[in-house]
Amino acid sequence: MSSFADIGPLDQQVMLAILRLQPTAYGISIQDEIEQRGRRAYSIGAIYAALDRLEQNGLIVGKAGESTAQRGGRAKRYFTLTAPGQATLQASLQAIDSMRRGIRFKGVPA
Amino acid sequence: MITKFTVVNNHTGAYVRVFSRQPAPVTDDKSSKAEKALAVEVKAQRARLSDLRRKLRLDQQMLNTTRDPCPPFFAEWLLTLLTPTKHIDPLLGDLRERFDANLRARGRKQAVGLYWANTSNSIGPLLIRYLERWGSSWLSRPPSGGFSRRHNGGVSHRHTLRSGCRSAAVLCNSGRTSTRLTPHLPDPAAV
Repeated sequence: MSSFADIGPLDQQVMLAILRLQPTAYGISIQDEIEQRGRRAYSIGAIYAALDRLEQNGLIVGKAGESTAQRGGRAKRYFTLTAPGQATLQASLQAIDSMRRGIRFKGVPA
Repeated sequence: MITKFTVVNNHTGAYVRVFSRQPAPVTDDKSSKAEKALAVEVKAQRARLSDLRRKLRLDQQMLNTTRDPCPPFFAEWLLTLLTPTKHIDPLLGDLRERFDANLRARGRKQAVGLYWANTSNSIGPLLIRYLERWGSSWLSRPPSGGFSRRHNGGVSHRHTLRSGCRSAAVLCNSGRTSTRLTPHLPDPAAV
């Protein structure tokens, strides 16, 4: 199992999007969720690279879904967070919160 | 004067009627405000009509195509090279879903262009991930002094000794001599 230090901002966003969308989180829906809420446009290749890395580390788990004609007969792959994944994400976000606590940005209202 | 247009969508069978009024010739100054409003309305309806015609043209293009519109094969092949096996189907399916949506909204030419744009944006991260995987698998190899089945040409050490091979060169099925195997072998003279 990897430590929370191993996950970057994209991994955090992907894991948060999966948490919001599960159990029907798949590539396109994760990409749209990040684009709408995170206001960052990642390519689908970047999303799948992050998903592959997280799955290899045991932080998320993928399950084959249904295939439709709209997708050219190719199956979807739904992702859910594992228990270590949730713990890692929480630890990572807490670390950022504790780093940010007490800092005031000049010219930016709190 | 009122002109009636009827636009019929061949693909879905639905039709839309658009009424257009041409302004009457200016006779009075009081009616200029109403005429301006009418002109704006006519302009909006003409824009709507042109939009409907464009959609109708796209539908007719889709109906006229004899073969099923497919994403570019070479782009799919490029992605297949870099994507891990278990993610090939989901990734290509997601891109196909986007391609279908773009095909309906923007037409074939733009859909193919956007598919290539998505592919070219995806190649960088996938290549980096591919190199990461390759690097991690290379680092997790057994150490150089090790004696794995793979280095031995698929034949186990015990089996080769039992079959009576006395030379280190014979241990490798490929015929290559390996100096790393020599320290593990018993002395042929002692056997």
